[in-house]
Amino acid sequence: MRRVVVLLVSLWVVLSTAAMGMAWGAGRSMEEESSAEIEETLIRDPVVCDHDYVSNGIGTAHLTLCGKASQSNPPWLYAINVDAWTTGSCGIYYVSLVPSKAYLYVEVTAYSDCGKLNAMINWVEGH
Amino acid sequence: MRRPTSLFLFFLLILLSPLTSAQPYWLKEGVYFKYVAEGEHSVAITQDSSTYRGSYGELFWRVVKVENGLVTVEAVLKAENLTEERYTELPHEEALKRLNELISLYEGKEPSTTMGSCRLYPVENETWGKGIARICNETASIEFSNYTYAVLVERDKGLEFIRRAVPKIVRRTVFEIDLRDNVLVYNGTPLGKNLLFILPDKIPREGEVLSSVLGQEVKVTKSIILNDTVIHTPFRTFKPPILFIRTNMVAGNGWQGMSGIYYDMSSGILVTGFMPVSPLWEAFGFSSVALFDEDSKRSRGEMGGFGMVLADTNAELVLTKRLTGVEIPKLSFIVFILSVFLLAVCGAVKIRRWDA
Repeated sequence: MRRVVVLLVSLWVVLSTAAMGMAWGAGRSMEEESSAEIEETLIRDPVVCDHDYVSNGIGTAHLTLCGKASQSNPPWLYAINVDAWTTGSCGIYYVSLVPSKAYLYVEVTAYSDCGKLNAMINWVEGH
Repeated sequence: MRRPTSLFLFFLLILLSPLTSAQPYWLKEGVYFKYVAEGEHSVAITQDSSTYRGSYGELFWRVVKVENGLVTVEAVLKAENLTEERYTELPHEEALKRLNELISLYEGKEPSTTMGSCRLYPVENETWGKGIARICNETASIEFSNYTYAVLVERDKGLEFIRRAVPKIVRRTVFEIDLRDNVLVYNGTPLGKNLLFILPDKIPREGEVLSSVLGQEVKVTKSIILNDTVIHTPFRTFKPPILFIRTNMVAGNGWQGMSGIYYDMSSGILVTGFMPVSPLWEAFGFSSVALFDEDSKRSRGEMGGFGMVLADTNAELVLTKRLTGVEIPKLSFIVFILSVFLLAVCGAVKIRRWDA
C-alpha cells in the first residue's frame, strides 16, 4: 500500500514538472512570436524624409528630416531624426528640435549664415 | 608746498572718484527702436513645451526714463500668423483615461469611414467649425482646420498633442538697463548683458559671459570690427565700422541656437541681429525667440540684414560719413595753439613760485 502511494506521488511530481515546463516553453515562444511580430511591423513602417538646402556663395547649409510613419498607430510619426550640416563658411545658428513622436506631420526650421532652411514630413507620404 | 599737494590730490580724487556711467549721446526719454522680421518661417518662439511658428515678428522698445545711470525701457514683442504646437508626456494611466474619454464620446455611433484599424466620425464645434474624430486602437484625435487634439497611449507612457492656429501674440514688458555695466535688470534681478546697444567703453570681448540659459553660459566666441561691411536696413544704410559678435551654441527645450549680432560702432545701436537667446526674451517670459527676416544672409561686403532688422527709430544718430568742404580757420587754430602754450607757461611759473 505504501509503495503504491509513493509511486503515485512520484508520478504526480514528474507529470506536474513536465506540465510546468511545457507551459513555460509555450508562453515564451508566444512572447517571442509577439515581439517578432511587433519588430516586423516596425520594420515594415515606411521611412519618410525631406531635405532643404541654401547657398549664398560662401557655402551651403543643409537640413534633413526623417521619420517612420506608424501603420499600427496612424497617423503618428516616430523615430524622427534631424540632421543639419554645412559646407564652406556657412554656419548653422539655430535648429528647432523635433519631438521623438509627432502627430500627422512635423517640421523643422534652421537658420544659417546662408539663409533659412525648412523641412517637413507628413504621415500621409508613408501611407 | 601745500598748494601743489592739494592740487595733486584734487586731480587724483577726480581720477579715482566713481566713474559715472557713459551714456550714449542718443539715449534720452522717448527714443524708440523698431526691429522687424518678415517672411514664411521668420518667427520661432518657445515657451515651456510650446513652440510657435509665424510669418511676422516685431520688437519695439522705447526709453521711458533715464535717471541715475538707470534706463527704464518699455518693450513690446509682436508675432503674427502663428501655429502653436505642444507635446506633453503623460503617465500611462492618465493617457489611457483621456483616450477612453474620447472613445466613449463615439461609442455606439456609426463611423462615416473606416481606415485600417481607425474609425472616422464627422464632428462640429462652435469655435473650430467642422472636423473629424479619428478613433484607433491606441490613439484618438479630433482634427479641425485650425485645431488638433490627439492622444497616444503606449506600453509604459502616453503623449498628448495640441496644434492650433494663433493669429497674434502681443506681449509687453518693462525693464531697466544699468549703464554702469550695461546689464538688463528685470524686477530688480540682473538677467545678463543688454544686447540692444553697446557702450563704447564696454565692447563685448571674446570669452565674456553675457548671460546663462538653463545652467549653460552664453559666451562671446567672436568679437570683430568689420571695416568692409555695409548693412542696408529699411531705416537706413549703415557704413563701417560695424561690430560683429557671435556667441556659443546653447540648447533649450525644443531648440538649440547661438547669436550673431551687428552693432553700429559710431552709436553703439543694434543694426541687425539674430539672437534666439537673450535676457530680453526672458523679461518677456519666453525661453527663446528667433526672428529671422526673409532676406537674412551673412556676408562680407554688402548685406541686407541678419535676423531681425532695424526698421525705424527716432534716435538722432550721427552720420558717420566724412564732412566735406569744412575746415578749421587758420587764425582760430593759431590762437588756440598760443592759448595752450600761454596756459602751460603760466602754470609752470606758478608751480615754481609755490616751490620757492
